[in-house]
Amino acid sequence: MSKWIRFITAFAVGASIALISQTYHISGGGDSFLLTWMLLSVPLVYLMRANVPALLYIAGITAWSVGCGSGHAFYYWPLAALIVPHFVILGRENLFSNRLIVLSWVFTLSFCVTVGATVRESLPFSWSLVYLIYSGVFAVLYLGGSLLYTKGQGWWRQPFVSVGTAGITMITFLLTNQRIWESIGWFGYRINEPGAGNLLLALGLPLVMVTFCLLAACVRRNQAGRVLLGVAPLVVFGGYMLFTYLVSGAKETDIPGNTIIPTVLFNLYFFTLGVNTTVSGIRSGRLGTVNAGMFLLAALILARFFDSGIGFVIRGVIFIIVGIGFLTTNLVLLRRGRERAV
Amino acid sequence: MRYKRTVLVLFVLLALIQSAVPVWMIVHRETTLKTGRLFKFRTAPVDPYDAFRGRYVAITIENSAAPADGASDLKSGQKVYVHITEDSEGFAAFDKATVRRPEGDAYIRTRVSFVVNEPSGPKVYFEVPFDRYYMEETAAPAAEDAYRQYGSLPERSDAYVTVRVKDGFAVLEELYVGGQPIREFVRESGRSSG
Repeated sequence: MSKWIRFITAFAVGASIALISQTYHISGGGDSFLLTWMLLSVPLVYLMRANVPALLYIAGITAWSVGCGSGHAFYYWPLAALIVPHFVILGRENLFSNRLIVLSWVFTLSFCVTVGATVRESLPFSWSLVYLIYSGVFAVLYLGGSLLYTKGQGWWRQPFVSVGTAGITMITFLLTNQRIWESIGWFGYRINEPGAGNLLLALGLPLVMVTFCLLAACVRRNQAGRVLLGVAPLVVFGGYMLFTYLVSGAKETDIPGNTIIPTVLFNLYFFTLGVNTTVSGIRSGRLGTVNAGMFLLAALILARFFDSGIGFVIRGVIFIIVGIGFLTTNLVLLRRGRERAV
Repeated sequence: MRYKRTVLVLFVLLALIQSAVPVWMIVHRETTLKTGRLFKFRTAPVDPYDAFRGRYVAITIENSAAPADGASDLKSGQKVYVHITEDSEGFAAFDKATVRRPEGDAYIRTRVSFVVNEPSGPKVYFEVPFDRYYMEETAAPAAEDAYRQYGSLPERSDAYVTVRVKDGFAVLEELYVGGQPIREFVRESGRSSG
């Protein structure tokens, strides 16, 4: 069947329901309309083996569960499960087809958005554990993706690995900030309350176990280079445990003082990530990786300088020094590359 | 060949199911409009600067909350039946909200938005199933002007909607402003101002 028929059929249901809604002045924020449309269009995905209805479906259920009223986020998961067989079918045909890659990108991003919404709705008192949950999700994406795509592919062709890398980097960067740790103690999840540690263990231990299994699989398949980034949930879990231990029984006013140790831990971890990325880039002669590593280091240095009360002039000088560092490294590496080529 | 035929049959079946949904939506509403009981609800004074949201007029029904009758632990999203009464002028109002379906035909079926505990008892705020009136896109700017002019008149509070209700299902029939349907009101206002 032609592409046009697939396209029109996917949109026809939505268009007709929208027309009826306006004709009969149907109220509501459009959530039931959106859900009806999505459920009616999902059989098209399988019947026509079509990607457009699948993309539309993922976008639609994400908008419905996150954007249309509260209490929907949990239902995203059974709805999303309806599209999983389509992934399996496409993956069996060709793991590197453009259709699967586009679908994987959309699904991964939708999945990441809905994880946060589900945590917020299902565990309202544990919002601060969201860093731990997200670090786990990103690590599973990163390590799982690494196991799936073993061939050397560009970042675009590895959506799980790319989203995982970006996510872990962002989460760990946030946790280098002392204020984030302070908010963990203050907002929602009261870490010094009795019983809070149980929730941390209940969520953290399964995450740690899954991460361990994936890490072991990566090491077995000669992907030991993935360990430093993949170990992030273990570091986050360690940070949370340390913090819980430090503030157990402490008064709320003492919490800010106890945030120093986990903050230092994450600054060290992020610094190691930056150095490791830069060094591996230099070794492999990849300028992009070197710059990414240096970008991480520069971001960390600048963030810490902006946190502290250092004067404007000194901040400016540091900015310039970091810039010169970037330029010099790039120049040196380019020259080396040329020399090698000659 | 056989596979193709199966796909075609399934496709036709899917198309039928897909068509059934809009057809049912139309039939259900048309039946309600033809055979449902008519109620007139006064609309709360509308802020003329906030009435238009794109292509529809946002409608707020006066006193769109009702005391909970016999149910103290209503939750947000729960299904309730809201009883309707009529005053001596023939205008309808929401009387009380119950979990049980009442007898007769003067009630709507809806969901609880939130509950406020007042000294007189819990008051249920619910989703009013007729909160918007769609208009033609081209008529919207003229309607907006008319509404603004009308908003400054003393008799602005006589705006109301007519609603048809059948088995708790409500369908908005018409929005009246200044005693006439809004389309005519807009047309006449356009003529008099033009």
